Amino acid sequence: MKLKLYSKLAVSSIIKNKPLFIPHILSGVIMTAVFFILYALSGSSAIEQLPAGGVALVVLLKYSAILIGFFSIPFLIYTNTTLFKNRAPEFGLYNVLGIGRIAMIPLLFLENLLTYGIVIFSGLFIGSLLFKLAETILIRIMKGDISYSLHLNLNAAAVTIVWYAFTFLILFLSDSIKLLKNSTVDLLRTSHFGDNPLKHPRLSTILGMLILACSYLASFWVGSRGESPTNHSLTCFNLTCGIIISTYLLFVTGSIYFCQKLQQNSEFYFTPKHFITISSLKHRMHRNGSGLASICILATFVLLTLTFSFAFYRGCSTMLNSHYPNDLSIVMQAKEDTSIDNSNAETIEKTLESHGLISQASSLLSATATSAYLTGIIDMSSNVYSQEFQNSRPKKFFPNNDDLVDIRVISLEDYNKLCKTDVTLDDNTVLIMSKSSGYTDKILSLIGCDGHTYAIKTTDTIPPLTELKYNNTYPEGSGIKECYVVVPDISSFLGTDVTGKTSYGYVTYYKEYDVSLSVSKEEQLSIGNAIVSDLEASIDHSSSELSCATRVEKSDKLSGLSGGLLFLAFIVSLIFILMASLIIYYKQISEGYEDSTQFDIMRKVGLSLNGIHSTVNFQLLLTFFSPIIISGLHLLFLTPILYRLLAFSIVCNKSIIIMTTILSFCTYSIIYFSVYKFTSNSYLKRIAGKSNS
Amino acid sequence: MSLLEVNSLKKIYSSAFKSNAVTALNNISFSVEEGEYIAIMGESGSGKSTLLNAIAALDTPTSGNILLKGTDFTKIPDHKMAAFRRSHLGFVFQDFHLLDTLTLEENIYLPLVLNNTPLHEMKRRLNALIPSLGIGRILKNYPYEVSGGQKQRAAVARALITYPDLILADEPTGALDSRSADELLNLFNEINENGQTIIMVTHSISAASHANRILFIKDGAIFHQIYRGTASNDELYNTISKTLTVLMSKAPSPIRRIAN
Repeated sequence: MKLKLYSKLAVSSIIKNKPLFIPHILSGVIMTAVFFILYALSGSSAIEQLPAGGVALVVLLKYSAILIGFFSIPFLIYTNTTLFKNRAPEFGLYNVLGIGRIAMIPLLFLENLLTYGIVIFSGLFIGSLLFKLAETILIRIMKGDISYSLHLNLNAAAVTIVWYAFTFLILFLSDSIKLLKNSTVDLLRTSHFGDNPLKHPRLSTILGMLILACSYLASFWVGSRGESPTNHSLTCFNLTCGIIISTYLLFVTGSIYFCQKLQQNSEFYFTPKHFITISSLKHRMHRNGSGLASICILATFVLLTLTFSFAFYRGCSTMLNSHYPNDLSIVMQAKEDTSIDNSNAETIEKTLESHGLISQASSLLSATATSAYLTGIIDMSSNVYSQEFQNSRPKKFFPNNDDLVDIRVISLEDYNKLCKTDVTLDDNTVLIMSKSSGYTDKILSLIGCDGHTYAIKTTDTIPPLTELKYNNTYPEGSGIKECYVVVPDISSFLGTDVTGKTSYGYVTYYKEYDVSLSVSKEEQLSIGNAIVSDLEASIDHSSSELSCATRVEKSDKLSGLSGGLLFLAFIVSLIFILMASLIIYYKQISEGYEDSTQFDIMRKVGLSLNGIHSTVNFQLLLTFFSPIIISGLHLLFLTPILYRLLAFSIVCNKSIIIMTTILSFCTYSIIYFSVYKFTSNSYLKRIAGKSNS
Repeated sequence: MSLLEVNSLKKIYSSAFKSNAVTALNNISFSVEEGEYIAIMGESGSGKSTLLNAIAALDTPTSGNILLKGTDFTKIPDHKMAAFRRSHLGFVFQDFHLLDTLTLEENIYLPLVLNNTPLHEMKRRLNALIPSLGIGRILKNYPYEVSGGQKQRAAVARALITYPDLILADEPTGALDSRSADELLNLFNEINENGQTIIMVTHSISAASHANRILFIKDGAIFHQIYRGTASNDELYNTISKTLTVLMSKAPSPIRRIAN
């Protein structure tokens, strides 16, 4: 009986208070949708299968999802506080009419449950709709190559449901505490309450500025390391948290402290231009500071996502060149053995011959090893791989790759052939170089697998290996140091005793065939397919792993994937912008009523309509644009990290990154500005209309 | 020359469909001398608020004119109106009309700030007002932190601080308890004795009985007026209540007399 009454009351109060509930529900929907999309993407196999940067992207998406999840709590508390403040008189009235305050808690619970239901349902619906849409386009473009499983989406949905249930539980508890703490009279008057004075505005402002400065500095520090930011995940995580916290501090207390300081300067404050502007600004920041901070942080996220996707899209060809340098490449990777299975190599050569391609092919035998690096000395005898990795994943959550170096061993014969030189080496000497710059004098000596120390041949006439076209494991700027070791004979250099140093552990042998094709795209594809099917049938798979791909095919996939990602990022940003603007707009409308009485008073006291309009305009501009300006600032200072992250996974072209950052900021601003124009007009009409009457 | 002259003032409210026009003010004429304290009484809808709004230049009359110190302010252009209003008129409202975003002190300074008055001059004027208004201790408080009586005294301070030619009070005691109302009315008398001209619209007989002259308005026209002469507040109170009884009755008789 009671439950029936309460549910009726709950439903009717949500319907009756639509203008108040809509911003709150909208905020909830946007948070759940964005959280769901990010979480689902981070678990998507499509992303992980990206040729490069897939893992980094997954980590990035997961971090973003976690941050959005945590960040939803203060954001929703903010929208909920506004809601509660406006509804307090209603609760007071119920109390006067005879419903006890404790008895109102089930009502609150039902209301929150209902809101949660609406939020989670629409959030998941919108989220999965967009996710599915992007996914479908992806699959379409990539010709259904990637298999998806529904179960991943269900997983993301479950996490979303549980996390937001927790968030709404917090909202319910905070409402209940407020309800019990305030007296009936207070409740009846709550919506007319003035602004609560801040406790330590000066302290928290200084704290906010300090944290922000530290975060920005940390960003430059990470950027200057010349390594992948994933090597400094802990720093990056702290830095992100720092930016979020300081944004809140500065918006909520810093802005008010700033206004207070201006007010204390009487000569400045008591002038027609500043007087009303500063005092009403202070009032506005009191009410909306945390909301604006939330929008600012979300905007920063959106900008980062946009930039990342833009860069990915623009950097596609660069990525293609670095990862698939050859028209057709066949890479055979030894599984267990000391060296490559020669019968398989012969099969490949025969297959190439049967297609008449052997004359266009060149082959290279090499071995890779991840080794310890101490200043100036490379030590191949210690098994760092098993120390740092487990099942080919880093053991530590925040790995430190400072002391690792990626080594590729090639034979002198191949080197001389590739570089068209005739360098000679004696038994105790090796050549060491990086791909682009030839000999590097940073490395003084090398300890072989057997503990034997080799001298480094130093000569100025060693040409770099720029001609080498092989499937790049680590692109430039990746942070993992890379060097080439040229030895007279690979197998005698690495030794025969490789027990426990299997292909996924320590040393991996590769035999690569790079074939150049000078025919049309379609023909390249059909040749590639024919060779793949021939090899699949004839190769002995127990000893070797084979990957065979044409560049044309990869290029199609890659542009499809990047287009899909860009599309998704665009959609997410668009929803975000629209929803953020709607939230601001609804707040404008609800505050418009209050403001119009204020402006009415000012008009009676002697402020001209022009003065009112300019004040209103200034306030609107500030509330709309302060979040985006600050998020632009964040973006600017995060660029070093963004650059490293992109360089690590996708592109390392500075101008592309700068262009994409500017482009995404401009795109964002233009959309945002049109929404502003659209909404502010109706607000102005409301204010002016009321004060005219 | 009178301080304020209202000449055949007419205000007709017409809706979009011209058929149902409402005459709020019908040929009202009267004048106010400097130093007068006038109460305007009338029922709801009699047109007294329209009259006050017209005098306050918040509303433009359909015809007729209003002269303040010889200046016809129905002819002042819009962009100069706000400045004119804040330098010549002071307002006291029923619901105080203080800005919640400002402290009482800032509220009081508001019209002066808009007039670009230097800070030391604002302070000098406020300090002069503090003793009679008794608001010295609450100046740094916000309106929602003080009582109704205190708010209204701050509003009076705001009206007085510009040294206006005329103070317009719209039901100033309407939202106050009787003690605060008495205090405010005594304050008005004090101000008036110092030479300040006041026009007050009110429902309350006791409020009106503090004035020197009472105008009764019915159906948009001046129905009657009473001069205090030498009568005490109580005597005036009785006269007003008798007049109101006549006013309420159906047959209006245009009596004009001076109270004992």
